[in-house]
Amino acid sequence: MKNLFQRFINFLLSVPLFIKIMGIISGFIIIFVFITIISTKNILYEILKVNYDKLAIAITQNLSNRSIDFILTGDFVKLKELFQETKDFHEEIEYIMLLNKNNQVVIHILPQDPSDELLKANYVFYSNKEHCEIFSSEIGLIKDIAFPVLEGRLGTLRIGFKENYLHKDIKKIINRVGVSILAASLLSMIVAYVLVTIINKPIQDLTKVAKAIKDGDINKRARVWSSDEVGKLSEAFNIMVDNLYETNQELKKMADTLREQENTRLQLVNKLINAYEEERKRISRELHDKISQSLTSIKMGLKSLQSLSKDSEDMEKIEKFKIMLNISLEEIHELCVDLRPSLLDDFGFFAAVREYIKNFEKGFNIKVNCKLKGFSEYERFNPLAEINVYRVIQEALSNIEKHASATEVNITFEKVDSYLVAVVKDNGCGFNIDEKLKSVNGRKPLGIFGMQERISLLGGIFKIKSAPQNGTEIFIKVSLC
Amino acid sequence: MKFDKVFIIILVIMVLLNCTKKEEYKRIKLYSSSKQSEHTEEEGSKGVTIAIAPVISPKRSLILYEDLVKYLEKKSNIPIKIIQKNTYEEINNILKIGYADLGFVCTSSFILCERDFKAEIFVIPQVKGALTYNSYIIVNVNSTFKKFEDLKGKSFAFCDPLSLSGFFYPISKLKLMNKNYLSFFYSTIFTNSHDNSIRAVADGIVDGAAVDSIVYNYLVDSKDTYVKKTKVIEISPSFGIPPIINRSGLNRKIKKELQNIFINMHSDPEGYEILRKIYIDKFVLPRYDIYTSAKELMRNLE
Repeated sequence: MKNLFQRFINFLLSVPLFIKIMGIISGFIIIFVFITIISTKNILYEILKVNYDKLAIAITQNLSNRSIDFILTGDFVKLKELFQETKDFHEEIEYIMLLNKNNQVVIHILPQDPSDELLKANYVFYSNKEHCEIFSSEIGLIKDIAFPVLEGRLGTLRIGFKENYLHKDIKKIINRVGVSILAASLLSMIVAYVLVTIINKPIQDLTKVAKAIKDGDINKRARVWSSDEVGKLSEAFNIMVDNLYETNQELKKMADTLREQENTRLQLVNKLINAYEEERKRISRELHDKISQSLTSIKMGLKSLQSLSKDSEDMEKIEKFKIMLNISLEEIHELCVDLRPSLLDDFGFFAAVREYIKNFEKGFNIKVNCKLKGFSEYERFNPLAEINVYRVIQEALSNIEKHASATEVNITFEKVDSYLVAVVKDNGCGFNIDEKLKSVNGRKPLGIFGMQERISLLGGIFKIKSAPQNGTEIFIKVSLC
Repeated sequence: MKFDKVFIIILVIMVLLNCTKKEEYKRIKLYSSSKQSEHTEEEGSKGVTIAIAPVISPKRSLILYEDLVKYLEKKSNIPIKIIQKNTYEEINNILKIGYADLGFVCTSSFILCERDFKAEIFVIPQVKGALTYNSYIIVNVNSTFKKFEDLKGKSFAFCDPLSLSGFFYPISKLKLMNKNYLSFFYSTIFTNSHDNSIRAVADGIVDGAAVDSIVYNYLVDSKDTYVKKTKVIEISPSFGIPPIINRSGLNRKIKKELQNIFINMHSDPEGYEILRKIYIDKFVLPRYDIYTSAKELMRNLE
């Protein structure tokens, strides 16, 4: 019920202002008409009833007085004629009866003979005063007036008046009054319609202008129709729109500046990352081509030295150097791979990632499942994307190892149209992203921002989803071209 | 919001109050299939019936004579009924055919009844010490008519074609002038009773009328509003006062009994009071000599 009422109120609130005002006016007019007609009917009934009752009594008295001579002279033919004339003249009369002192009918003007019930229905109490009785009958309400003829010497005259006759009269009057009131109401509605239209026009214009401005046409201005509240509102609205326009222009300028700055920044970051990658590549190559070659030469030298040496102590020392040399070579190799996996350049992104995963599993005892969907194992794509996504995956796994306490990681690479969609999901302890992304001592967590930065550089999407005890999921989407 | 609800509740109550004003009434069946006979009383029923000629209007007659009738009933123990008719002739006929036993009639009616069916004088009322009365020619108090002849070409009201004072006297006067009332007067009406004639003159319906002096004087004494608006311009010679007559076949014993009651009424305080009210001193035994002048007048008219 309350819900229904609320819905009704919401409906009322949602209709246009014009309909609301017209609705209020129409509602008041309808209530006014309704109350006026009912009140008029009641007042009319009260006034007419008094007059009708007086008239009925006057008719009865008059007829009684006129009957006296006819009764006294026994001229019942003329008396009946008088009764008939009176009944014909007054349509509201249903019957006229003259009863003698024994309450027997002397003469009557009735469509049929009167019933005993009717004869007993009314009688006079005083010899000089009428007595009224109202009863219902087969033809409706009857007001029966009993009047003593010549103070009761000649019996009682009884006249039955139809009460519904009064209602018929009232109905006629009410119909006429009703038509007048309805005509007046209609006229009022038309006047109200015109006035409401005049009042509503500036508001409607204002609404149109506001809508146009909302849709982007900031050059529109409201027309000021009058100097009233609505006019002032229109003026204020126009000033507000002017201010808005100026602010908008400033904001546009600022946005352009920002955009330029951002582009510059991105270019710089891009260059930085490229330089960083190139540098890593160069160092890796240097380490591999020069240091590793030198160390291999040293190892070869040591080997030949070992074959020449007879001294077991020396042999032992050489062996130790060889082992140290092998460890260094291994470390250099790992460093090279870490700096710039040659697999990435030679066999592509997926081979590099798998190699990294293999080493990661080996190093940290965390199970990593990697799935390709829509990609072949050695499929290549945009080298910039390859290295950046690789770095992001690297960072993600590094973070998992450092913070997540996870035992399993699932990585999926899916080809969706010309996009790579990568999802990295662990079963670790998760974290509160909002808290994690807050600056700590003025520094932002570089890991996540670094990943974000790399992906945004590629024009891709980077999303991270995590909650304490619910693991972490990283979503990446970048163009393959 | 609270105010809104209160307003709506008041509105609904007002509307309901306006709509639910309906009273319950007793239900009655108006008409019956069984025939109801109309109880108009038949003339000539048991007891003594008195026919009253319309010397004055029937309503006045009833009011005037009802105490007398009650007194007679009480004294004689005989049921008495009154019959009134519109004209003197109807009363004469009722007496003639025996529907009525006694008749309060005009002098001329008595003369005609006596001649016609030997009606007898029952008693004679004495009014203001006299057994005679006159016919008054009356006109409106504001009129300039001085004598009967001035009414030539005017409108005139007669009482009844059988009234001595209200018809035969002015007719006899016209006869002496060799005129008839149809040519002498511009128009004439019959008012059926003397009080109606007085009213017709007072209201200016007619210019003049001939009325019974007893009725006129009675109305003057009663301070009647109409009689004040009239004046008498001519008084006729005296005629025998209208008697109470009886039909010749009336039971002698009843006649005697009732006659005694009438004659002794003035001696009985109750009877005296009734007589005083009806403007009669007493009732006296029949005397035929007082009607000679009236009989003479009527004979001349024939």
